[in-house]
Amino acid sequence: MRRLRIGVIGAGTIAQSAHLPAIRRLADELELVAIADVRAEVAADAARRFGAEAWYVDYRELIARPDIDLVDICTPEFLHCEQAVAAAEAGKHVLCEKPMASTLQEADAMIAAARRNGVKLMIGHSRRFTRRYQEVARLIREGAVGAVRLVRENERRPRAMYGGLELQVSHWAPEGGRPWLASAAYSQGAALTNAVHETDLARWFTGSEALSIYAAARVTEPGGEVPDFLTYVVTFASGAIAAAEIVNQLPAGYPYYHMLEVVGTDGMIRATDPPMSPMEIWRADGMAYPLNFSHLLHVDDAYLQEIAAFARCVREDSEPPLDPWDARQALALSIAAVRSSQLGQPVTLAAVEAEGKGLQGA
Amino acid sequence: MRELTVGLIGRGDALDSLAHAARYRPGIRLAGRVDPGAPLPDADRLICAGSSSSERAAVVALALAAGRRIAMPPLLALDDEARRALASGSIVQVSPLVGYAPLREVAQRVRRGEIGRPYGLFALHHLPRDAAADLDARLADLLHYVLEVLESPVVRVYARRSALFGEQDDTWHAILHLADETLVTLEVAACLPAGWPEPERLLVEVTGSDAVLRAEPTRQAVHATKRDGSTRAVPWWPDPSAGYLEAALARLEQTDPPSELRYLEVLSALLSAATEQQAVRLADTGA
Repeated sequence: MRRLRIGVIGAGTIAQSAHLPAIRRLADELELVAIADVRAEVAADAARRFGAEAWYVDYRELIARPDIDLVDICTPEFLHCEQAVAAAEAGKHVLCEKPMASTLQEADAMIAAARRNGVKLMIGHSRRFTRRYQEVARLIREGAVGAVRLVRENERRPRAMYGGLELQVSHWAPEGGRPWLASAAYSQGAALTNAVHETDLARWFTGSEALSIYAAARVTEPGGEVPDFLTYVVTFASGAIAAAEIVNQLPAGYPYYHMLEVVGTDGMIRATDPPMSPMEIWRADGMAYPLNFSHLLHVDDAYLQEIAAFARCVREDSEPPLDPWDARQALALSIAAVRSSQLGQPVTLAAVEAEGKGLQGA
Repeated sequence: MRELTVGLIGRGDALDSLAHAARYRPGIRLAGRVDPGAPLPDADRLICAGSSSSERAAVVALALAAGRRIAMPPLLALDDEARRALASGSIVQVSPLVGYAPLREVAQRVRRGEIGRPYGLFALHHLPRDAAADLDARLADLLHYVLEVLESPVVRVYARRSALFGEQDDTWHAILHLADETLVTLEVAACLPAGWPEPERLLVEVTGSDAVLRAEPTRQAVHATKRDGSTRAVPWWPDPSAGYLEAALARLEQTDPPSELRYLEVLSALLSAATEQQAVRLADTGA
């Protein structure tokens, strides 16, 4: 079996903590050819450590290589459209990190480019590839709880979440100061950064399209620019309700924690992280949970499964296991959450779509 | 020293539990227990155990008519009689949830400033599906508790009341915006299916700059799994009636109880928001 040749665009936090290690473990199927990152030292270091033969500062040089079959885009969402469209035009299959894009127009352009060029496009909604969520989806599909009526998924992340990962690289700071994730110029905050997972899961589990959302968001980080705290209630066409509270600013030392409850007409599923970690250290200055992140049920082998599944569909010329339309709809719901929190009123998905059409026409 | 006499109002299990708590509480003597609507017992202190909306409404009229002061769970009515009863101090509201020691602890620690700057409060109360008739009463209990925990004025609310599992409304979702930017998320749902091992689920999480407080008082249970695989949870958490009794007695002792109109304004806004399916501003009310 010929190994597929892959290039990775963006060598920041998610690439080095999740994608590149997974690609290394898939060495029987994938050959890492090149890495691109706007930070030369980051690109060079990642190429050396993960065994890529080349590195670039300009991603266009990477996609110009004729010997690359697929690219894995691990850059911030505001770059996804440009890079995914360019890769598709160059005939590369595209796996792209979530959220799909910054706007629905960009998401639609990505889908159109993939169709036009006959390449596969999949957005890496990693939770679709974890055992926990797959098991929940399987139970729902098999009718274990009847029709889904209520989905509650809360997510708490400690402020220093990435501190425990021994990352080789910090978040990219386009202007040298504030990381892009925390900058209003580049990020819309928790609604897209994390909650696009929750909006995707809610659609998946309810099997329905969202009609409207009410969301409230706030900035808790002193001097922060983008919301890091979000709470919302979504109404679906099926009549189901999904709700979430996302907190990204737990005091340091608190464990990462997810609470998922799916209530159906005939039963209920709970798939919640234990409130504590599998390992706890009690000290005079507080508690620590050193294995918390790596042992969370949502992390699992998600990235390995995600990348392997995409490679399989490229090799077998089959449909990607996650349709880009699903990612686009999760993005629509997250964007609606942003709008609602700005307006202070519920927002319909129809209004968000109309707003997008207005922008296209402008 | 003469024992304090206590008269109880209510019916059913709630009244039985409260009577049990009163019987074994040193310093008081149970003077009588009556149904809501019956003549009030002759006692130094009157406490209502009413868990349903109708029981609570009946007690308001009694308190006003008799000119007595009664401690009871939060009101659900928004009419003039209710406002008069609260404004005059005839009705002193006590959320039954303060009967749970972990929830009292959370409230005290937040008020002492232990969490630093509050970010948010998440509270969930899941009940069996056949408890949908008491949905509004459970929301009122939770709302009253939350407003005691967080003192900042409520400036905007959103609420949604849904019938997810039957014909009758069985679920409340509410989001409260406080003046200090704290976001409160409430979920009250009669959603636990038949056969679910727990009789109810109560969870309160308060997140702040310095600490996170998490209380789940109904988690304390013996789980028994039968040969057929079915599991039942037999609760062994302390009966909250004793804590409720203490809180009610303490509240009745207060000569200048805090205004309960804030609670009434927020409840009124939640009901409006749910009806209109829009967020409702309270900024002008100072609630």
